[in-house]
Amino acid sequence: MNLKQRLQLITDHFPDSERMGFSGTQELENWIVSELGNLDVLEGPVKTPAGWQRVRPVESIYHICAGNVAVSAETSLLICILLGSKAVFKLPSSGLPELEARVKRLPQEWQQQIELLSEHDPERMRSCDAVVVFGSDQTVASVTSACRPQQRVLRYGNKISMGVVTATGATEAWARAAVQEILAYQQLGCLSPQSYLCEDPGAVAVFAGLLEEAFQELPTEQEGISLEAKALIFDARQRNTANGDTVCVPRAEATWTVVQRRKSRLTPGPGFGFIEVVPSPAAELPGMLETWRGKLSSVSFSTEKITSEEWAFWEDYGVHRLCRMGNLQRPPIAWTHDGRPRLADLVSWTYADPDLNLG
Amino acid sequence: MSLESEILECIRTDLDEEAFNQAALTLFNYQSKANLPYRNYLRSLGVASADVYHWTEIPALPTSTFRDQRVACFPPIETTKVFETSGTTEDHTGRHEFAKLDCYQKSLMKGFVDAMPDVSQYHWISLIPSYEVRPTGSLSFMVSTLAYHYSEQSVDFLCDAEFNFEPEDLFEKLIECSMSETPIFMLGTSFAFARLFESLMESRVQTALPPNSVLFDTGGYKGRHKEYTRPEFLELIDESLGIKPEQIWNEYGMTELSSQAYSRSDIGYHTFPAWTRVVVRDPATGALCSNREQGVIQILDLANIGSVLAVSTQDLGIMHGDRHLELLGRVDSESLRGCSLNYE
Repeated sequence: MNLKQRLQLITDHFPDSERMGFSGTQELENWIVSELGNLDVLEGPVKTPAGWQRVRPVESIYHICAGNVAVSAETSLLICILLGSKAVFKLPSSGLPELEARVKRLPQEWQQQIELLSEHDPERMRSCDAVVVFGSDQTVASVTSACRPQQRVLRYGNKISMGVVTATGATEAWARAAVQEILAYQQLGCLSPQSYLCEDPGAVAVFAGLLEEAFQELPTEQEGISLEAKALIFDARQRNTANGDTVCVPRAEATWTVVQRRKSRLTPGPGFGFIEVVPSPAAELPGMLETWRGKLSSVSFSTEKITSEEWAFWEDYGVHRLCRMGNLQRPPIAWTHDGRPRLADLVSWTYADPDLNLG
Repeated sequence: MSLESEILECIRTDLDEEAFNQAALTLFNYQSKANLPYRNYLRSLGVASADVYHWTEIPALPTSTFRDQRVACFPPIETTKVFETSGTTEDHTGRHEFAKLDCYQKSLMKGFVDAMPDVSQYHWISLIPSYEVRPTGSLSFMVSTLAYHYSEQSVDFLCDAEFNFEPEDLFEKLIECSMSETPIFMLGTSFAFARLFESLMESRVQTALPPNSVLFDTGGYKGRHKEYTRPEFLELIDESLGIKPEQIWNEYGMTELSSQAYSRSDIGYHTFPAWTRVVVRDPATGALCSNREQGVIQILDLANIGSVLAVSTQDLGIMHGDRHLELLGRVDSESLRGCSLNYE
């Protein structure tokens, strides 16, 4: 199957493309070009001013899927189809119905390229060319140590994200946008915001109030979430109350919680709509972020414009992506997850000198 | 009679329900005034001590508060002992401060002696560091206190401050002990035992401890080792050391408390001492769970005089009757956050 056919297959089988971060074939092609330099390079040698180049995707990829956010595994499936690689998915014990259903809908020849495992198979993992692992830092370290030295290992460990409420950004519209990005994927992904940092400490109560209003309009019952998750929410509410923060909960049974923090501190919450609004004057921001250096993924801003100084500031703390508030959970397909290209890391390049004629 | 003497008396005698309630309310009344974080917490909840008539109404402070604030009823200058919890992602530990240790020692000694079989004549092997090696560890303090004030035989501490041990040294000791008739009382965390089993298997060392030997497991992997299920764990102990479930005990305690609960593995329920109470609450509503319903564990410990008697844990459990707790495990916040769920 050539690239054109594979692109068509993706378009046909990912009707929810917007959720996956692309709006059509063109965007997928742009992604290939941005990471690999040329659309045709996956199909055969391409002549560039520097010489002949072609890429060979890894033949097989072993994915260790996160159990909390299915979209990462679905994106892995999309990448495998795009590159034409075989895929082995180690599913979490609870399974990943979204991925399993998507695989079942693929044409037979593609289903044969994909294996779904319920048990981790170390030998199978070591037999693959590349390993993509989503998990805790401990899991990532353990998997990495079990891989062959020659294997490519793409690691996605624990990260957190947050929003920044600019001095003029505590508005109803931005709060509504914030609630959308908070509730996506039950707030369990690395792109889920844990806190909104208010540049103006005086805006904490205002923005918290606006978030509460926005939450009120959405159904957020605890029914259906695990006892563990409920216990974490219970504990986090108690902890914040004990710390003198203002904790707003509509009813005990609701999942969402808006906390107005007294002190400037960044603390990840239990998910499921638990959000802290934190006073973050410029002088205190570096101290808050320092503890989390290297563990920060993305930041959304209640503004449509940021300066290159601001970009550099966040980059310094290891943040890989900046966006408008509301878009945290909607990265474009071409974004560099944890700062790494997702296609380029899964191909090998071959090069032929420019003076060599290709017959 | 001072409050401390009253509580010591409570620990000495078998309290009935009414006496426990009275002691709990007295202590609550004291702590609601003397303990600033707790006082603030009660104010946030809108609870006045005068409105509390039964120990089940006493609000429990979350254990995480010990990481955020100084939870004590006395000024820092009076602190004589601090026990620290293990670190978190945010890299700060919880602290439980004590002005006096009399109650703590009395509680841990009596709790152990009342619940456990008599192991005072056993040879003790500890995979928990001694108090001298780990002075901020409450577990180390407990084991050292028992070793010095209760055990009448030799005690070998075989690990360093970070709970690491040399398998070869331990094998040597185990082989030596297996040739003796004196039963062994072996103490350690779950991850230490897990390491031991694997080292024994790798080295193909076979040993069976003397009859009636007892294994004392204090639980806890703390991310340091692959976690075994309880049945797997018991099977490994039997296979590697020849100790049956009825000779394996589990201790449930935490730095934020001064008392411990114990469970024999073939029974499976932890039993709390008479000067404590345990309840399980529905995390969605905060209401008390009925018998055999799963929920969050909250413990009232009268021996926690200088901090707070009621603590809300991050553990889940089921009550069987008034005093028997089936421990389901700790809620792991790491497992629910980020692109991150441990592969199982």
